[in-house]
Amino acid sequence: MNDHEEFDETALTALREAAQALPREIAPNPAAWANIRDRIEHTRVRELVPVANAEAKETSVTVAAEKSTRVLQPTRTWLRSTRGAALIAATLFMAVTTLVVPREDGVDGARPGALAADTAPAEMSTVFARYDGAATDLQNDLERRRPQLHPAMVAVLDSCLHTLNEAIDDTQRALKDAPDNATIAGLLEVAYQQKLDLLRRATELSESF
Amino acid sequence: MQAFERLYQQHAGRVNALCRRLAVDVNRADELMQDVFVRAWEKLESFRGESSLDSWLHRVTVNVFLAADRGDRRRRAHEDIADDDTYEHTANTASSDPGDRIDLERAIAALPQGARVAFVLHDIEGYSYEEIAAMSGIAAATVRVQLHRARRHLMEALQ
Repeated sequence: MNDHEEFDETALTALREAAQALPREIAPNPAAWANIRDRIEHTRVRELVPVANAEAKETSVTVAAEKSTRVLQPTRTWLRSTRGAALIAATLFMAVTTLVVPREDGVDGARPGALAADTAPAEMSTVFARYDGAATDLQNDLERRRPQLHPAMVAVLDSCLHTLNEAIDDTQRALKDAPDNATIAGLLEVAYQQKLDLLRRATELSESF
Repeated sequence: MQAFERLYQQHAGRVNALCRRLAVDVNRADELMQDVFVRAWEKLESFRGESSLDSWLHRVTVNVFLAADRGDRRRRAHEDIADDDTYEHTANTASSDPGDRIDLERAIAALPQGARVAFVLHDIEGYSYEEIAAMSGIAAATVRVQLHRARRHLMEALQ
């Protein structure tokens, strides 16, 4: 059987042309992303922080630290590392929320946004250098305040920073191999954002003591 | 999550179009598309860049659709091939112009499922028989048969 068997050539061509002319994209339901995000977040929290569920109210920083360390063992691929970093950061954020630390977006006015998709690879290295600089400043500031932090929180913080730094290193290596890959650049940007967010929150926390 | 949201923004239109054509029912297509992106998030680490992200998402879409359909079919005890006998020329009431997009969409929606999947993936999305076979877990020869059936139905419906 071939494509033209039994069919009138003109009719078949017309049908194929009509099929090709159909729209390749149809706008999704505007609420779809919110639902998807909620389902993903719900899954992440359920997987990582079962203590957040109703029957276990002993959501302590120590428990969160133990779980984050146990669940998120170091992984081999850059992508896994990045995702792991996102998850471990989520765990820490839950611990921070438990301590009722209010969050202020854009503490230092630098709120890195969706840059990777719209920025040329050469410019991205400048952007990432700025991230590095901002992270270093925050980290230096945090080092001075470290004695004011609860030891368990310091343990979680160090563990998260370690994972995020690994994710950043792995993703940077991947980006070096594929400098035009916007997805990898986006993941690197997210890892940097998470690191800055983590440092900001830890700084806020130290200030609140 | 921001990176994944960006991925969603880039690909949601195409994935949604595929979901609409595979699932036909708009509500079911909406659910399917959400399932696809949740599954994509879960399986993102299995994406190695060997194919384009677009193709990978289409593969996930077809897999999620077929898995959901298997569940539906178990409930309905309704066989795909048997659809041939129950096929309704719902497009007959529409314009006979085969270039009319709405008529063609209606005619595609009325196809038996196997034929619809083959037609959507081959004639609209441009995948080869082998690619469709790999996506849907059937033989390439079966894809050809289903595509032939789809074209026959569509030509009859649009005449």
